[in-house]
Amino acid sequence: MSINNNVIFDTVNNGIIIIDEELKIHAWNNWLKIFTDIDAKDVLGKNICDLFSYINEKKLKRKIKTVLVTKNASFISLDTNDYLINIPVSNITNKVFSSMKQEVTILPYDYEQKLACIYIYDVTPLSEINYKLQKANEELIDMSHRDPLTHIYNRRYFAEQSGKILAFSKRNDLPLTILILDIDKFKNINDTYGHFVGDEVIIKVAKILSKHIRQSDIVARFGGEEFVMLLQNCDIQNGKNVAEKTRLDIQDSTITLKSKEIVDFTISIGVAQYDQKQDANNLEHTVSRADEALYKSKNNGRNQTTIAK
Amino acid sequence: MEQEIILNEDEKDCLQELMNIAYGFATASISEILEKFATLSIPKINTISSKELNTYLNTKLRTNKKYYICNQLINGHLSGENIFLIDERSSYNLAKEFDLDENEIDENEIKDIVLEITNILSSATSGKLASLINATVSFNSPHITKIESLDQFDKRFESEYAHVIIISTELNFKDQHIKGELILLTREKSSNYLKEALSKVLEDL
Repeated sequence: MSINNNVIFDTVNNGIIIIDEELKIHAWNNWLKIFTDIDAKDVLGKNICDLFSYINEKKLKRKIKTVLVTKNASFISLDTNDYLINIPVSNITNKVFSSMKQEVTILPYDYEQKLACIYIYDVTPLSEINYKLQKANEELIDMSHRDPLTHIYNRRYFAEQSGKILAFSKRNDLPLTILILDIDKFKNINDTYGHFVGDEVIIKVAKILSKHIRQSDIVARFGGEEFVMLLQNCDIQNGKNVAEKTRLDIQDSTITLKSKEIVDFTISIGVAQYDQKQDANNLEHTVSRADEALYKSKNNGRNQTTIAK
Repeated sequence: MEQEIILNEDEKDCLQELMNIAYGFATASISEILEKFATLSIPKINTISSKELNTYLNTKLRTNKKYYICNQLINGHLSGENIFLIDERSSYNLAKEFDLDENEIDENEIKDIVLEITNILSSATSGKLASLINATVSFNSPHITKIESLDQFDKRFESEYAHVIIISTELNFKDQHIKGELILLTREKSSNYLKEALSKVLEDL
């Protein structure tokens, strides 16, 4: 059986270019003609980088040389390049990318004439699925880290991150301060106005806490009406300042019910700075000290900040 | 599926010799492609089980460095996966050897160059080794990730692969020492093929 290579060349469902080491095009198949709307006669003998100025000439020349020297394949990976030749995507459903995603394999073709063969594969549908999966995964991970009511981080995320942050702070000799915060007489709010209003108060407090932290800090809902703030590169004095500003901000905040009734609320805070001697690499111990300070704030009349010993 | 590849002393020597030839080819290829003098240190070959690879990588990745990890699937008689591990500093030095100006070197360019060097080393080792023992192989496109800890490493290799061959080498340009490690993960069938092929090479000597 004789095989007509030209039939394969012009019917295969991927792009094929035969190119020399100076990047002059020697062959251009029908697939490329269809997708680029450029006929073979308009590209043959021309430098591919003159036709498509976005192609990195130095890099492509090196890849052609690599295949001719090693006598093996070289690749242009999707990890670093979206495409070799920019082909707009014409799919109107599930369109994620504006250009065709391409996996490119370069193989030696003729050693004497120093020719290589470039195969271009359309991997757009697979890339779209991967992209959507990745997005969905990121959303799932984010959801598992967040409290569903307030959308601030949850206790699990705080536990996961606090160890890393402590290690970073120790390595760079930076102070680390923890604030434990609790809404005062929250049971009374629930009993008086109902759980819906109780939830509104929790959401409002979470929003105010988020306003008082930097990007490097963490605010999390510890459970119920209790919150935690982890302040990086922050000593006890600055921690107390943040606590007081937050407390006053919450003291000045209210929720207005449909009945026009105004609900006000306050918080009590305990502040502790991580101390190597007392806490011995255990941030949970710092949290316990901040918790003890919080209970002092409660016992001393609430709506106040206490610094841990 | 968990034992270390069982090669006798002669077979180990034979593999070392074949790898020396393969790395000689890789050195010549890199020098020719980059048009500058490069040397690769004589590869140190170590064979371990895939379970031990976890411990091995854990020791490597405990140094607070960031690593680029590039993996490439191999098909054919020596089917498996090649992994090239290179630290961030060495990758940057490597990019400079690819004639990139300081302002041209960014994360994407570094990744591109690590992918390329992986492809060259992979084809020069697995490809050359295959041609020396009359085996057929083909390579998939390599993929690259930047990792800081073993947690970011896919642990499936323990069940996927039977044996691990670690080839440690240092790529040296004029004033640059670029340390990288190529790890060859082989499937049970391929390990047996390699062992048989090595015995045959020894018989033919």
